[in-house]
Amino acid sequence: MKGGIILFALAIVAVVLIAEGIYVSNFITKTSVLQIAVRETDIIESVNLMEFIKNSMQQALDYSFYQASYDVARKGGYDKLTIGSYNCAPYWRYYTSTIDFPTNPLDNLSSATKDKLNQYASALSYDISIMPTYNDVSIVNSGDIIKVSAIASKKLGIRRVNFYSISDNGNFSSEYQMKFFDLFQRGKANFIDSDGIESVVQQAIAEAGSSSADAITQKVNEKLDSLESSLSDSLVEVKITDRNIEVDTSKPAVAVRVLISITDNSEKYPVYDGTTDFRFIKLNFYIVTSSDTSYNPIILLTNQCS
Amino acid sequence: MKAFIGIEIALVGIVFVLAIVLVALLPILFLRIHFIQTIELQNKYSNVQLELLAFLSSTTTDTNSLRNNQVTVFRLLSDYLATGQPSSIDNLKYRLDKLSDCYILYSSTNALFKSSTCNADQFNSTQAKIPLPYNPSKLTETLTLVIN
Repeated sequence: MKGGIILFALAIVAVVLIAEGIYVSNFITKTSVLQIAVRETDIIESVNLMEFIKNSMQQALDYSFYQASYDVARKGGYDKLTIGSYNCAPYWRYYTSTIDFPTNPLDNLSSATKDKLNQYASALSYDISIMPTYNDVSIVNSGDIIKVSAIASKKLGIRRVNFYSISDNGNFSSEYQMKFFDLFQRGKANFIDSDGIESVVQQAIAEAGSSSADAITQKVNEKLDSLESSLSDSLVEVKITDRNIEVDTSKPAVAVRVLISITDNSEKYPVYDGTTDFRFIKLNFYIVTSSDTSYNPIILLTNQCS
Repeated sequence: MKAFIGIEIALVGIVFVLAIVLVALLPILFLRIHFIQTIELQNKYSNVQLELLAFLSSTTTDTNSLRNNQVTVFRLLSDYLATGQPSSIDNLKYRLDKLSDCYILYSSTNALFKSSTCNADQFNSTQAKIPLPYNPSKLTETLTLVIN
């Protein structure tokens, strides 16, 4: 009887131990496999997010470059206008002085692109993403192709604290078929290296002879219209507007202030200028010149550029 | 005395039978629960994020460009949301139709695409921020894809 009870008790203990053993080992295995599954799912989602952010940043580089090109061209080659300007167009020439001609539009374009790209990097961040800042944007111009490369301060990443982190190259580059530098070259060649406006004014005076001020003004306008046509082609349009023509019939001498706009008509870009719309890249600057160095009646008209 | 021995043998027999049955059943019982939990977890991951990414990353012709460049759907949507150009993006809908039978793609202001056969609820959704053309007051737009 006693032996039977002991046997029974041992059997109960054995059953309990077996059950416990199975439960515990299974629980551990289950937890481990579940953790792996959750990590796998989360990592896949993070890799997807990383690819998404990279695509977004690539597109952000495009938009940053378009806006920078539009702004810098609109401001005559400057990123931030600290010199005298009128309606955001600087005076590339003020009679014989060309001191405000921008000698480094490439640097200004690079700086403007970098500022905008950093704004995008901040706006496109997620709770778990690590977004780099961009310390340098390199721009190389070769003909009509402009290559832009953004150099990140660190890698782009996704981080789950105490779990895992993944990272990838945060540098981006892209090529653009834009005539930004061609517009500058045309402006420099025709209005800085040689004073194209002064030349047409001299021609107008020569052709008008000792006419009245109105007749000389009309002749100057005709010559400026001709200059517009001769400098334009199917893809680049030159407009000479906001004309202020002063005439001294006694000499005779003519002084002119004009707004030169050189537009790349090959492509419109989505840019902001009060509203967001597709616009052409247009280089603007003022030229003030005179047919006689002693005749300088036009004063430097300036206002704040916002 | 014989009766006690009989009861003892019966009890021992029951215990052994129970032990054998339990040993056989317990792994199956626990593993079945384990399988169900794993399957539920995998099922919960619905690929909605992949569907949105696949849709946005597919390429199309940029009708805004004079050069008719190939661009991502992503880019076309950004331009459309910021400028209203192109005037219609309906030609992109078939791409989502291929990915899901029941979906809605929202911007922050309205539904951009909606399946014609059913109304997707909030069962599964994912969000993605896309860059818009530069505007100092709004640089990104959040897109939400909801699928059933």
